[in-house]
Amino acid sequence: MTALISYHSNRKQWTTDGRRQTTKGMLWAFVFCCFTCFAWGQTTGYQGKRLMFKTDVVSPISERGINMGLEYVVLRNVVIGLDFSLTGRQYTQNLPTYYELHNASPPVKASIRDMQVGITGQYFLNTALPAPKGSYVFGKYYIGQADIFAVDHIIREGKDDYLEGFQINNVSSHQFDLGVGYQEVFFGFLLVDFDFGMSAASLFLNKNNEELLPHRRDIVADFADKHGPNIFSLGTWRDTPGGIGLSVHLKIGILLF
Amino acid sequence: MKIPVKIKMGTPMKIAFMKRQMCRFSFSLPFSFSLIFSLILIFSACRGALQVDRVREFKSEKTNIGKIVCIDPDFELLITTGNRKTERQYKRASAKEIQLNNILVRNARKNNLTLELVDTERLLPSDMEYFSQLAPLKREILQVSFLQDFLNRKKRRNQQKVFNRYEGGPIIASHFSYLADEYNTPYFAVQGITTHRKPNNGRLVLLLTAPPFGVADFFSPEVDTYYYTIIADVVRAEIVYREIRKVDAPASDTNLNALVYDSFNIISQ
Repeated sequence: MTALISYHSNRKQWTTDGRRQTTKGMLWAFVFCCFTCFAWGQTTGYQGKRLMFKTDVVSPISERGINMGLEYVVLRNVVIGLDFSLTGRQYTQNLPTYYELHNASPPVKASIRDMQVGITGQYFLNTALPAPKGSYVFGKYYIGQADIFAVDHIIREGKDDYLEGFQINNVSSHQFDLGVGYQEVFFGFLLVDFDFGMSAASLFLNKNNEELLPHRRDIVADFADKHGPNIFSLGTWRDTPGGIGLSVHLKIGILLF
Repeated sequence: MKIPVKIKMGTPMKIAFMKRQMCRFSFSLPFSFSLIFSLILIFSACRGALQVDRVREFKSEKTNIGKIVCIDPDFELLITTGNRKTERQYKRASAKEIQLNNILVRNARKNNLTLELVDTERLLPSDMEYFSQLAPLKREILQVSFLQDFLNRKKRRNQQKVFNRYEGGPIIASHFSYLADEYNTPYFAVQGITTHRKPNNGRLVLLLTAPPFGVADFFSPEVDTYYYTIIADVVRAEIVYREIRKVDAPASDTNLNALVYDSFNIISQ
């Protein structure tokens, strides 16, 4: 803990808007605390096996991407993990001026290619049956970078109109998931994990893109409300582009050792 | 001196206020939904119970539990229909007992424990000492465990946690101490499984809030599985370890492996 306190007191990083940058510190504190639990926690795992590798089979279908991760049983009912996620979803844009003229949506689809790494924590509800088997509640936090492609509808004065594509690179993206799941072990090594919950994503467009036109930010915000949840979006949830909604994952994995 | 001024809201201010309220509502609605949804799922999810009572001296650093004699593990099925007039039906599952025996021995070995299992199904006519030695000990352990409780001078009984350590355990008759020399261990265990199959009612709330879980719940049988272990030290003439756990899941191989491994892991730690 002394190392943790000195780490916090020495690192005085401030963001441009005056807030203390504590995200990285909190992340390291969480990892540090989890690893210190090994010393005193009554950890069983499934027949002594604690390390798991899992990959999501829903992601390639719903998000055109991959989602995989390593998880480790740290306490009797607690599992922590590192996740890697790559999504490349395409979205039909809704441009009102284009729709008025052509009575259709633009033929070119917008896309968000998002690469994220994250930490996950699972708390297994059954005290009698130790992790990683049974029902659990989970929380996930991802950070990453996204490349956004979209089209803008431009009308020349007195002449024809056209679609102009634009790309925004290295957009900082954050995602937070919360929900419940169930994990089952077959044949002593095969894992099937089903989870269901709420996802909330944010894309921070203004961080590296000061030259971005305000109306283009609105264009992105219009379709980015579907980014994050993979089955059903409830809409946007804060000022920054990004969506909130329901997500489902079906993961298959193996118990390594 | 500042005079408090009551500001009367004009139409633009009212619109701004309404907009802010609308924003707040749209922000809180998904969160409220997710909160309610999560709470319902958490409360309706699979939950179990675990209670481990042991005396302080059991598995301290001085004690080394190398071997435990397991006296005839039981596997019982309890069936209820839900109707008040019908009686409970008990069955003893011999086939499941053999499966349980294998799981017990395998998981004890994985925790560096030697489990000598005495099974009545495999007794030979020459093994008559079971009925004169181990059967009375098993009856004694079960009776004493039911009638007496662990002694704790520091804590009150209502402050029990999942894992408890006590000053002393329930006392058994001292004339079983000769068995320690005969079996080369003072530890004798009574272990068993009871599964309770209940009528399947399904949970309507779960079906409405989370249809995939609700549908699965309607079609899966409602079974509670109880696993118990009572270990007696015949030299000290007391019960030194007692564990009961309940899982609302069937007694499948994977469930039993997880339960039994965890149980031996707690014993061996």
